[in-house]
Amino acid sequence: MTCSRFLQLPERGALSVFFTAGYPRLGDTLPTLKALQSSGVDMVEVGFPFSDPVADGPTIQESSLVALRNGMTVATLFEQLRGMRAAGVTMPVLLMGYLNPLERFGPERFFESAAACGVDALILPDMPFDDYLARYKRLFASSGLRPVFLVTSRTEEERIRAFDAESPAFIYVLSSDAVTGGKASVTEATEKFFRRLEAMKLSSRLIVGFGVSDRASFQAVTKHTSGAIIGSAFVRAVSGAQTEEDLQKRISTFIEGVR
Amino acid sequence: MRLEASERGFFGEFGGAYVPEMLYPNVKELQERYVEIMGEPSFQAELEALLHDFAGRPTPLFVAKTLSKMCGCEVLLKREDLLHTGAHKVNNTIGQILLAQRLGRTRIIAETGAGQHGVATATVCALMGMPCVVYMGEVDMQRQALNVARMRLLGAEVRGVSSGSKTLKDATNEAMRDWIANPHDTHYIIGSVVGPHPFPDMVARFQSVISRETKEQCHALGGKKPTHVVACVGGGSNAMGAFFHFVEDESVALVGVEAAGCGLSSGRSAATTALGKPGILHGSRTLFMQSEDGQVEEAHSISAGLDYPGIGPQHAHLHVSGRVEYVSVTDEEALVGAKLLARREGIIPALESAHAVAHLRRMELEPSDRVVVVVSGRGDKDMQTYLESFGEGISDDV
Repeated sequence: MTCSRFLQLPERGALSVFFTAGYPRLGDTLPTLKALQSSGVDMVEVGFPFSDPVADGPTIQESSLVALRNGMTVATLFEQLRGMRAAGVTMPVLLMGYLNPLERFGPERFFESAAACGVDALILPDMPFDDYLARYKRLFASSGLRPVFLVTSRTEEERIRAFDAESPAFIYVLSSDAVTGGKASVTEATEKFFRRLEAMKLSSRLIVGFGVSDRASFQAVTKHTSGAIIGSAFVRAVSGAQTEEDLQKRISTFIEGVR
Repeated sequence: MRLEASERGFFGEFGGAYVPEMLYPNVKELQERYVEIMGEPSFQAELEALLHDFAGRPTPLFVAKTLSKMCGCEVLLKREDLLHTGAHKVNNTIGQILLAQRLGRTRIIAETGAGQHGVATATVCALMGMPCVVYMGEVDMQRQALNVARMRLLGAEVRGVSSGSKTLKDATNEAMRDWIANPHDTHYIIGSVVGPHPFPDMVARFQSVISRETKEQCHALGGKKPTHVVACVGGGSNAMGAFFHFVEDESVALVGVEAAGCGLSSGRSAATTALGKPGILHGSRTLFMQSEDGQVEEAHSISAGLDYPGIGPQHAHLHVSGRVEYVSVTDEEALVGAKLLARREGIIPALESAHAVAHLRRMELEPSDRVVVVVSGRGDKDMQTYLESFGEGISDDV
């Protein structure tokens, strides 16, 4: 069951990693997933690439373009993920990407294929909440996939509560006003924002992302939240890996550095 | 038909606001306030005064005698090329900077392709004393070096964009990223009828002065309304402005001219209505050129201003509903159009506008027709391209 996989997450300090599917080499998607799991990561976001990722900084843009040049497509991604559960990947796996490739593939087909692969949830940063309610909610419901909603320090409380009511896999808390790959500095204002969220006593977990890159930033942002996502820093760490062995070694070294 | 944005910013099935949460508050604030602010008498007065005194409106509607003879009917040129900064873009930047001031924003960003919108933005920022950052693809910076220098002279910071195709679509991505990082003090002046709601509708309203004047001027020129309005379409802002007050009058034929680049089947084109599919790009649901897998394809046109893989949502709707006829003109045909206007009417048009002129030659017209062609910009910025393309033959007749 999909919901049970999120129950495995620790109450505090959950470490999640984002990587781009088909990067650095087309065939690296499943090996990366497996290596992340052996390194003790709690959850993974697999990015399906888009040519024009407006919410992403240079690192993830570049990895997306490399993946596309490698021949990555939505159909290829589902082929690669089809065997992941049988191959022993037990942690929650989410797909993250922009709406256009999903819509071109066909929304119904996308949700069905993702669910068939054992994907647990989808993060679609450019999906408006209106569209979620009007168009996508029923696909989430029928496929058993769960949504994830992003909130920033400027998201109004009423809106956050509306997200929470949709029983998302978690609430994706943005640490700062920036695209991915920046540097999180937990300022007084950020602390205040995290405390405000904590005080709302939401039923969803709070997982922080954008700007989390190492042990120091991971520990700083997880003080008031359930966990954090590292993306760009991880993508940089595996950039240029030539062999599966090299890839595995880079992954375990990187994760050890954060834990 | 009517062309009004629904509450959520849709024109038929196109439009909307597909932005990440980081931009939601900014976009929502604009959605809630743009109509009200634009309707304020003090805003209207300030806008009208600047359009008149600073930009040089109204622009003439010129009776093009030689072209008229050639086409066998009356041809009128709407002279947006005579505006300050050299193109229609300033109609929108004046409007948006006044809006930004009323929203309390203190910093302006913009994207630019040909550099015309960048120059028009840098110009109003200099006028208002506001800092300005313009994102421009590195390829475009090379082919429009003069406009880069103009922006810098006006005090704007021009940031080269080296991602993707290094042209307008990538500059737009980068400007959106800047807005995400600076949501509190910054207003993003989008240069065309693209982007999340309310930008397409807001920009169309600011550009609608083109058709408002055209209507009045046609009236003054013997009272007959146009039978055709022809304008080039990249994102589509001058065309949207030129069509705006005619959309409801089905007796006026509206023609949008896209860039076919090296030809529709060459793989190097920007003819969105011919080659595009529906999808989501730059914050709205619209038509754009994309791969089977939903990746945005690179556009090509000799004209940097038309070198964009998509069109605004209103145009997508006007195309699908059949209200506007969209055609395309190749790079070569556009060059002929430019020369024609230069040699026969004494007007060197921008390469973008040359596409509209080129289509005029192919239209089947009746002697009783009255065709308005929008000359959206002047050709100064394109002299390098004209020199390279015509070479020794630059003085040869058409």
